[in-house]
Amino acid sequence: MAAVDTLTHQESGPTLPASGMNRPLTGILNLFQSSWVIRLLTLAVILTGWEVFGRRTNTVTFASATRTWNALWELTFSGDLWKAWRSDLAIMFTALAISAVAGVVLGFVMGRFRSIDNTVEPVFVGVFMTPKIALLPIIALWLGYQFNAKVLVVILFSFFEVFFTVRDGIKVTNAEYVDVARAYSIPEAMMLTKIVAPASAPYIITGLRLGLLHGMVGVVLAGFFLESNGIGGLISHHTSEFRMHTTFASMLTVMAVGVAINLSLRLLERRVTPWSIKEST
Amino acid sequence: MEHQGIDVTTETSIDTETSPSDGKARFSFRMNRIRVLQLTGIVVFLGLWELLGARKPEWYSQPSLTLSELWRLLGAEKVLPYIEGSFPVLVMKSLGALLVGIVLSFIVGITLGFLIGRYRVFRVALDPYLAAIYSVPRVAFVPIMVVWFGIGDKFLAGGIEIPFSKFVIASVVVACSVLIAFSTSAGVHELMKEYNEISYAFNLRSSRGKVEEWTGAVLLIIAFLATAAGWLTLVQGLILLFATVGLLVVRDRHMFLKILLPGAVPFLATGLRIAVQRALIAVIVAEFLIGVPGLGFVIRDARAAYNTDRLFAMALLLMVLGGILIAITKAVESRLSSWRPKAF
Repeated sequence: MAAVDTLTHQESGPTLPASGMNRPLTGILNLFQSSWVIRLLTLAVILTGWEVFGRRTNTVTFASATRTWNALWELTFSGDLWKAWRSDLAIMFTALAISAVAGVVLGFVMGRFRSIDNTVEPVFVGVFMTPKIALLPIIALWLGYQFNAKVLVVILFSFFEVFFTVRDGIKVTNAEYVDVARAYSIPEAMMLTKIVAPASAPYIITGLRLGLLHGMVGVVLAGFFLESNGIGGLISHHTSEFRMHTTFASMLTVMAVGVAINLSLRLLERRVTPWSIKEST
Repeated sequence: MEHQGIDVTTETSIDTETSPSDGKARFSFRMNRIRVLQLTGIVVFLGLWELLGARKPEWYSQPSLTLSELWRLLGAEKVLPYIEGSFPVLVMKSLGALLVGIVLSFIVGITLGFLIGRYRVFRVALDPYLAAIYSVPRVAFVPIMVVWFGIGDKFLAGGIEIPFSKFVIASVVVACSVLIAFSTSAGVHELMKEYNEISYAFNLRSSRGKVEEWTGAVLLIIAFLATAAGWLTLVQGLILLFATVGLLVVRDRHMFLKILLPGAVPFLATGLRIAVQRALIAVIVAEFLIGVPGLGFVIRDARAAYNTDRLFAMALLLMVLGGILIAITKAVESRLSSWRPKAF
């Protein structure tokens, strides 16, 4: 390999001096080519910087890594974290169950029947394009500030992701596989269970993943602007009292849950649909 | 009155994109059929809303009331108590903060995206964090921006007064820069893969760039840690950061100028399209949260006064604004990426 390398460099001219000069250095650098070494180093650098910066700044505006870590334990043991996340996860999964059923059913129907799709689409697109934050006060007016209102907020955030992904998926599958099935004159019911459903599985899972991730935005916003008992409430509450260590700890849990949702549903995606589709957002 | 209202909405919401004249004759019937169905959907929706609202207008409002309120708002000299400025001025404040935020997001996002997409070290080191932040609701960071950037509605930058809130701009940057970094790095990485394949094919593979990337990494670590420790001020740290990136770019200028920059433009356009929608939400959330003059504050005020008509009018206005922003970015995108296959 090394012989080939030197050979090609001599041929390619301009790169020769650089590679010749740097040979011992690259030898050492190769030690660091393992991605885990790099990742550990990065983590160490980030944590060091965070800690060092946190120690010399005011605790009112920033919290060091160790204080955040301690606050995380404190929040966990006091039960605040669990209380916030329990109510938020209940909201998210209620909303997502509704969004998933409605999104998949409507996605199937509107993917199959173009005239219904054409009639309803402009209204759906209109609501989809409205920044949901503008609808939040209206929802608060109709449903109050508690569970029901928050569920509706999260539905608004997640439904369209599920619906549009599934509908577009159905439209695509219709074109390709349905023709073949027609050629073999397969009955309509069988077509649904054997062809349309499996073919749209990856879109449904992608839709659910996007729905959950957008639903999380909804749940955080609902915590800010509706009853402040969820994780959004925890964050805004601790921020308003300038307790940065607990604020940072709460934000870390938001990131952890987001990453966990994303990773687990991606794994599911890979398990159920190894041929996997490319996401657009 | 009602009729007029309905006509105005249908026109603004769908007819803007397709011009009827350029379709070929044999498609015209189909186009018309779709158009008729779409119009029916909208008219039925608005009709139902009008009927529902007639029973309890202070609760559900009505399309006609919403439109007349929007019309009134657009001409209003003073919308908010205690705050000067007509409604268009407030719209401009929100959009201005959005624009400044997007520009800053592009600077941050492109720098990060190029580093991560081009150099293996940065990709391995930073990609997990980028992916993590990408999949997280970044609105969670908005409250803390208040603490860091304050609630003032203008600030000084190098002696020039900028009439937008620093806090709102920071919220936009937090919401958007990751999106741009993500799409830039994806684009650059894809290009690098292709480029590497070509250079394999021509037997041109070299270890050049490895030393540069490690030097860059060490310099960036020094910049980061020294700034954190207070040995460098924030400005000095940023100068060191951009100097390092500049060094990398200059050492690698052919690659950047001839291959990566032109190749990445469509990905940047895609990043812009996604970022603009998030930026609008971030601006409104930020203004709503603490009452910075702008559209978010108008919503906050209308909510406090239980003014349903105004809430719906604002929702409609934001829908139209969002639609215009998306249409602009889509036009930019299709112009810049006409040569690219439609898969992404």
